[in-house]
Amino acid sequence: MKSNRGTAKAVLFLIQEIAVVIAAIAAYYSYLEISRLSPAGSAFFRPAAEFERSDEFQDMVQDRLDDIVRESRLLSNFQQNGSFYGRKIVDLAEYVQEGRISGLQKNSVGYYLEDLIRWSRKGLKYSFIDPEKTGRLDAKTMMPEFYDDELWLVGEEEDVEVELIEEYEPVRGRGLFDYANDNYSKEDLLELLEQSLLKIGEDYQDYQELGRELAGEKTNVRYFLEDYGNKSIFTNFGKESFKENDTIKTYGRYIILDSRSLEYESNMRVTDAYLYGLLQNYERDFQGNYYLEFGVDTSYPVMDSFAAARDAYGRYLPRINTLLGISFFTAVFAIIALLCLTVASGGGDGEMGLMEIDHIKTEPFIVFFIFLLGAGSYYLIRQVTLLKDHMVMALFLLGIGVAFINLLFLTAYLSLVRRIKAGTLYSESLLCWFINCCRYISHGLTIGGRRILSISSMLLVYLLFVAVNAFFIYRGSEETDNRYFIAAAIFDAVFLVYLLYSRIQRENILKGIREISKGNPDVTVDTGGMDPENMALGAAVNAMSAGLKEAMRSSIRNEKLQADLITNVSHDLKTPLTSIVNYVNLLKQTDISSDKAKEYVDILDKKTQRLKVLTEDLVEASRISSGNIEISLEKLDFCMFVSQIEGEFFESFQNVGLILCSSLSEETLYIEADGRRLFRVLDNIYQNVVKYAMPGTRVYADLKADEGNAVFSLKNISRQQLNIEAEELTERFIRGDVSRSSEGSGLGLSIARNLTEIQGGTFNVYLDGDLFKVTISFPLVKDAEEPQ
Amino acid sequence: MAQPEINILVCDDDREIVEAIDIYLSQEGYNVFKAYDGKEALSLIEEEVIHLLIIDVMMPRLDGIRATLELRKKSSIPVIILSAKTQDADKILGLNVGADDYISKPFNPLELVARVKSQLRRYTKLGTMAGDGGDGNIFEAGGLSINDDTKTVTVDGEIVKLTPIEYNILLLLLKNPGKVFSINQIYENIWNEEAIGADNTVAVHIRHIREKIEINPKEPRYLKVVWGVGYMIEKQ
Repeated sequence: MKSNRGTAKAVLFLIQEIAVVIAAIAAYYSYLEISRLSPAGSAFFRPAAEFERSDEFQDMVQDRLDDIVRESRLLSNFQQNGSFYGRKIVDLAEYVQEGRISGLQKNSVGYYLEDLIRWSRKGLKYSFIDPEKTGRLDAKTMMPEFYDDELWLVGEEEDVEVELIEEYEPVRGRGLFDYANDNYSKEDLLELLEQSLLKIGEDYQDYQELGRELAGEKTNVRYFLEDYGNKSIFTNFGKESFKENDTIKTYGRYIILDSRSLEYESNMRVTDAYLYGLLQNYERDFQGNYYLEFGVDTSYPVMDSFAAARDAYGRYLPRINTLLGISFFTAVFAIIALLCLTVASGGGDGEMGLMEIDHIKTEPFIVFFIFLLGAGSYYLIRQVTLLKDHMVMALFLLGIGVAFINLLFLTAYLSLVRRIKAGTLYSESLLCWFINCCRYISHGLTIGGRRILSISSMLLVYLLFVAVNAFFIYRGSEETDNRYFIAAAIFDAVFLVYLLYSRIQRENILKGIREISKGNPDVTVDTGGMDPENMALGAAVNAMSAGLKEAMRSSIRNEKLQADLITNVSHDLKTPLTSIVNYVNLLKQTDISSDKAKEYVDILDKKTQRLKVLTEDLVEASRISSGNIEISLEKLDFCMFVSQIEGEFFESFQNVGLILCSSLSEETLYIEADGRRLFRVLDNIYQNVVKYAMPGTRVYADLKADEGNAVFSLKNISRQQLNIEAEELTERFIRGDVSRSSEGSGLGLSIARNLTEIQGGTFNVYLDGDLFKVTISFPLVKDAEEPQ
Repeated sequence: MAQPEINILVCDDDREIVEAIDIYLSQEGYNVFKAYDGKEALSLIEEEVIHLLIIDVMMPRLDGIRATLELRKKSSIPVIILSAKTQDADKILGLNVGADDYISKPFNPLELVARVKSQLRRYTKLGTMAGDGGDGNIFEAGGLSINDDTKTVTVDGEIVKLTPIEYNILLLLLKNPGKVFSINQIYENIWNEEAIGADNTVAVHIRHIREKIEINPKEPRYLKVVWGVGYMIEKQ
């Protein structure tokens, strides 16, 4: 199930990837083809069935219209009476500022047209004169394109004077600079000359080229432009207008515009507004009304740019359409695949299907991938554009690049999808983290009135400190007055004293707390003279010590109550028991004739003795476990201790036929213990042995030093089967014999263990089959001074 | 029983216990008076000639400790405290306020009788023995006394038979009351040879001595065990 799902996702992924690559390649390929058709309009390519309806045709028409208007201007500038007139006078200012050559000299200087054209071809010549060494240094020709920068640069840097060499003279035969007047300084004139030469070079070139291109036999375009203002007519039809007979309409596409009657007629998408705008650019020239006829012969008898474009259009359009179709459908396919991936990814399988990458904080993740995608796309577009002329290479590179970028995109996108599905988009974001931090701080600030007060007062003091210092230092540096710095130093010293004072108060409080932690509750911190914050702290410590004192008092009281309880219970148990013991004894002494009665009394006697032991052990055990027991540790000789115990049990062992094999350490082992309590421990375990050991067996007692401990162990063979756990034996009321038939309270080992542990020793019971072993160990006391 | 009438006052708030003790003591020929609280006991002592007092601690109106304190202001008769309180502290308290013995409940009636006898012997007889002493070879502690000239040991006037080793050990301890002897010290003193390691021989002998001179060997009055240190006889 899971692997099927994984496989399906992988296939979807692959399909999407391939589809995107194909879509991108097809789209770019068609773009290349389109741009081959129309370099300008490719971005807005709209395929049309007919070439004449295409944007390309539209663009070409508009370009031609522009050319026609421009050509008409150039003609009126360069021609007179229908042909080029070289002796036409050019007023430099009029030409530069208005773009017109009227043939008259006006305010500025005038040159002959042919002189200017020649001059512009040759360039301006300057001579450089070093004022210190008289005479010319160098002559240099500057082509019009460089007039602006270099010449003056040279002049400024090398401190030389630059002088224009006037190769052509103005119309009136004087030098250029003689025309300097109020309106035009020498510099102005020189600049006018330079700009005129620049402009006239370009204009003359256009005049020649456009004249050739628009000649009637070289183009399928026909035009007739008449300026009503000065009656001038521009046409490539000869001088006759054909507006009367609508000849222009015989061409496939045409425009008729009459600005006087606002008549406009066209079967093209060119609007009259565009034409008015176009002519408006030359408004100075077309001051009056005008009449325009324009037509394109769509039978294309001449092989011009229109015909070539038409041919290309017919050839490439079907391929472009196919490519665009492929591109469109693969793109749709890619989007569908992406949607499927969106649905399939994340959710479901384990840990909400989140991956490592999904745990990167959202914002940096997004920014990083946007950067990566942006940079990758930019680089790819640049490289592909550079390779425009090597189409196969470009398409190959594009394919690889798009595949890579799409991979990045999918990675980022699917991660976001998984995040959204898992609901971690926000919770793993920096914003969320930041908000949580803010919430934490604000929470901290607002818990109870006190907290915010103490924090804000701390901030206030700090701000005050900084502010005062800043003020003194600012004023000090402003007025360069050392007294401000001294004041700042004094202020800081005072502040230091305050800090130290506060610190000492803290130390006092800390001392109180340490004292309390050592277990001395009788501590009161003197809060007199403290600052409010420390005073609150000190008061809290005092309250704490008071509470502790109360708790200790009540705990002592409880302990006493418990001790009293044990005493009372033991009294109440023991008093009736005493009577029973006494009267049973009396019964035994009385003369009883019946044997049965004697037997009963014997049983009573035995059980009474048992009850006596039980009661004593019970009281002792509860006293020990409730801690109502005083221990006075002394230094004891453990070896002698064991010897003494063995002496006590010598007869008991003999009586039940136990053989005691004891091996006690040769050296004296001193331990710290309470002699009477330890006696009780050893007494218990030896009595245990007497009670439970198999008669006639050996009992082993060992005492030796082991790793800083005195370890005593007592081993014996149990009389009865021990079918319980060793740990249980030291629990209360547990005895080796489950039937509880033997005497004993079941508390012996429990009391022994508790007493041992109270004295700081360890008590362990070990069972192995019938082997019963008790181990008692106490830390050795090193100082082996002979006890008194 | 050709002895003068001896009056014993038994005081316990539990009537059955008083009855039982009465029976035991009467069997021994003692004259028993009964009281059921401290006040009663004190007023009886005022009225009658009492030779020994057995008193419980926990009683209504006036407890045994206070009653003993009161009694000790004017009388020095033997007092045996009988109590369910078995803690060391309780025993020490009882002995400190002037009691001569302390028996914890539930007690063995025979032990009680033995202790009563022991106390009475000391009270009635020892006073006269002190008169014929003075030859310097008599050592005593409480009711325990050794006459080294005659090599006799008496407990509350009764002669006790000891083996020579037991006698020597007891003599060593009794000559140095209050001093604790370790097993090795005793061994070296008695056997006159160096002790090799720990041995329970001395301990066994000590136990035998205790069985002979003590009423209850588990709660010795004279020969005390100082666990892990040695043995001693307390200064009295």
